[in-house]
Amino acid sequence: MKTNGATPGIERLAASGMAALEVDDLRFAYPDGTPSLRGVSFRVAPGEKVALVGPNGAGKSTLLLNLNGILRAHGGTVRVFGEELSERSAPLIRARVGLLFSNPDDQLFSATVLEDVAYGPLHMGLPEDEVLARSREALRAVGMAGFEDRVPHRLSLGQKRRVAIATVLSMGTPILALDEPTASLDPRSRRELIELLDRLPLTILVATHDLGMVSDVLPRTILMDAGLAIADGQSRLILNDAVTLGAHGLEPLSAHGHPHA
Amino acid sequence: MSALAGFLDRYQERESLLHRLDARAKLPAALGFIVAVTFTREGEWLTLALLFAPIPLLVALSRLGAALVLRRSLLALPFVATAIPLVFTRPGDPVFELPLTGWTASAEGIRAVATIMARAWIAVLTAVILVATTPAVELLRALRSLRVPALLISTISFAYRYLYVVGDEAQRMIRARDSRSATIPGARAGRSVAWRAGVAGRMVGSLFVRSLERSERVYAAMQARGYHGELRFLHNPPLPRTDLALGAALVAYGALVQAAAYLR
Amino acid sequence: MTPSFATGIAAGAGLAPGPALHIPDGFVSAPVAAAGWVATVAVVALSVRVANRRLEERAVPLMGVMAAFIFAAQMMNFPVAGGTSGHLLGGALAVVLLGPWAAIVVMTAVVGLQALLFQDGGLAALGANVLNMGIVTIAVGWAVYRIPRLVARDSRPVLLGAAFVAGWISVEAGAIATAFMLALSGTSPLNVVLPAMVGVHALIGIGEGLITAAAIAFVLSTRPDLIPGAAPTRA
Repeated sequence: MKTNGATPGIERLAASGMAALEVDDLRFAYPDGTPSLRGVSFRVAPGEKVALVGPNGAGKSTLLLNLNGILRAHGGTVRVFGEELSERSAPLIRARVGLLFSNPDDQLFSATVLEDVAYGPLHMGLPEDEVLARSREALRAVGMAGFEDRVPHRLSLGQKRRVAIATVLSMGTPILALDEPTASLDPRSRRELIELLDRLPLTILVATHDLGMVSDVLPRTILMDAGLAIADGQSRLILNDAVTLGAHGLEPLSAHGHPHA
Repeated sequence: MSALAGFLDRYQERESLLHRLDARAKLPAALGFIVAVTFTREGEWLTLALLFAPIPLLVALSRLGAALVLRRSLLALPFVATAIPLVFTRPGDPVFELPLTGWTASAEGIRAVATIMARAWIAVLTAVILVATTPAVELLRALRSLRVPALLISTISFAYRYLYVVGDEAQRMIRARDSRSATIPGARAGRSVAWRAGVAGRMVGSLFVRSLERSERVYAAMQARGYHGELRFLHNPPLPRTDLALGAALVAYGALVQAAAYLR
Repeated sequence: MTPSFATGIAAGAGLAPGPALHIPDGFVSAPVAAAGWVATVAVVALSVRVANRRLEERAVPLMGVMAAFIFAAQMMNFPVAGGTSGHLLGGALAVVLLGPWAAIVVMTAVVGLQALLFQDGGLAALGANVLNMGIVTIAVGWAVYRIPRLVARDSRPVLLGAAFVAGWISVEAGAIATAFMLALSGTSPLNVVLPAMVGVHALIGIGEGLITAAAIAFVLSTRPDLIPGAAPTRA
C-alpha cells in the first residue's frame, strides 16, 4: 500500500527515531462529568503493532477517538509524526491517522462499495483518476477486488469490515487505529482479518478483547483500566500474567486455550 | 449508557419539594402559567414583575441553583433577532440614531421588544425549571392526563426510547465520516457544498433503512410478547391533592395578575 | 429605515445554531398561539386516526422509531462555510417515505418532544410550531412531490427531482408560515420578517432539497421497495 506523498517513509522515520504517535498525559471527560481518560501516556514507533486491552469502559474507544480529534482532549497532548493535534491541525492529522469503527455500518454510508472507498481521497481533493486507482488498490489489498459495485448492506460482516479497512487505506494514512475489528466474526473471517492486519505495512493500534489475535500479530500490549494505562510491554509477557489480567477483568490465554491454534 | 444521554438529558437529580411534586400537577401548572405570561401586553412592567416574582422562589424550592437555570434560560436568546427590527420600524418618539445608518429607534419600539424579551424569558425560565425537576418519562406519562390521544403518546414514548438508539447510531456515523474527512497540504479539501450535502443525504438514507428495519424487529418482538395493536398502561397512582393544589395555585396566581392588568 | 438592514438582523436568527423555525414562548401573542392550537389539534387528531387505520398494529412501533429517525437525521449536518453547517428539518423526507398522515404524526412527535424535553420551541407556542413544521411543511411538501408525478411517468430522475423541489419548497413554506405568525403577533413587521425568513430559508431549503433527494436516491438504490412509485424490484 502506498502512503501519500505528504508523509515521510516509515523506514526513514524509524531510523530518525521520530515517534509515529506520541500521547502524553491525555485526559478526557464526557460532558456529564464522567472521566474517561485520566492521564494516559505512551509512544508508538513507526511500523509498530500495538494492542489496547482492558475491560469494557476502560477508555480504549475514547482513546482512539482522541487520536485524530473526533473527541477533543481536556488535557495532555497527542503528536502524530511530530505534529501536535489541535483544532486547526485535526484535518491534517486525519490524513495520517485512519480510524476504523467497530460497527462497519457506521462507516459505510454510500450505495456502492467503490463510492465509499473513494470518499476519503475525494474529500482530500485528489484528481478522479488517482482516486479510482487508490480505491481499486485499497480493495485489492483487503481482498475485496471485484466487489466495487456491490451494495454494502448485502455483504457479510467480515466483508464489511474489510471494505471499511479499505476506506481508510485508500486515504494512504500511515497509522491505522481499529476498534474491536474481530468482534462477532466467524472463525474464517476472523482469521482472514488477522492475516490482513499482519500483512499491512502500517503502524497499527488495535483496541480488542481478542487476546488470541494479540498474541498472533500484535507484539506489544497496553493494558488499560479506569482511564489509565496499567501496563505496557511485550504481549507475550502481559498475556501470561494471570494476576494482573485477572485484576482487570481479563483472562490469560492459557485459561481458555488458544481458540484457533 | 447512551453516549447521547450525557448531551441531551435535561433532568437534574436533586432532593427537593419541586422534584417530589407529581408531574401530572407540574406540567399543567407550568403550561397554564406560561399561557398567562403570553397574555402580557406591551409596556405592562408591573405585570411582568409580578409574573417574574414566583421564579426565584421556584428556583430556591427546586435546589437547582440559579446559575444552572440562568444558563439554560439563554437558549431562546438567538430568536430575539426576529423581534429587534421593531426597535426601528415602530413609529414613535425618537430615542437615538444608529450611527452611520440614519435609522432612528423609537421609544415605542424599544418598549415592544423589551416586553417580548421579558415574556419569553419568564416562560423559558418556567419551562427550564419544569424539565430540570421532572424525569422525561414522567413528563410523557403526564401527557395522558392532558387527554392527548393514546396513539400519539405511545408514538412519542417510542420516539423518546429509540431517540437514544438511533441518535447514537447517527452520532457514530458522523464520527466515522468526520474521521475520514481529511486535508492534505496543497489540495483543496471537501469538494463542493452540494457534494457534502449529498454525503449527508446518503447517511440519512442509510439511517432510514436501518431505522425501518429496526422498527420491524421491534414490532416482531412486541408481537412475540402478545401485542395485538392494543396498548396497555400500568394504572397511575392517584394524584395527591396537595400537589394538585400547589399547581393550581401557580396558575391561579398568573391568571389573577393578568385579570388585574386587563381590568385596570 | 430600509428593510434590508432589519432583514439582515432578523436573518441572523435563521443562521443561529439549531433549527431556526422553533418559536419560543412569548414571541407569539395569545390569540395566535390559541389559533395554532385549534388548527393543530384538529389536523393531528384526524392524522392519528387515518394513520392508525392504515398502519394498523404496526402504527406505534413504525411511527415511533421513525420519529426517532427524523430527530437523529436532523443531527446529520454538513459543513457549509465559515464554521456554519446545514442540516435537515425532515418534513419533506418524512412525507416522501411515509405518506402525509403518518408523516404528520411523526413530525408532531418530533416537534412535541423537542419542546417538552429539550426546550426547542415554546410550550404555549407548541400548537403554532407543530402547525408550521409538522403540518404546513408536510402538506406543501406532499403537494409539490405529487405534481411532477402527475404529468411525468415515475422514474428515478422524476422522483429525485420532485424530492429535491419538495424539500426546498417545504422549508420555504414553513418559514413563510412562521413569518406570518410572528407578524400577526406584532412581534416582527411583515415587510421585514417575511423577506428575511424567505431569504435565509431559500439557502437552507436548497440544503434540505439536496439532503432529501440524496437520501431518497440511497433508498432507491438499496431498498426501492420502500419508495411508493418506484420499481418494486430489489437491487
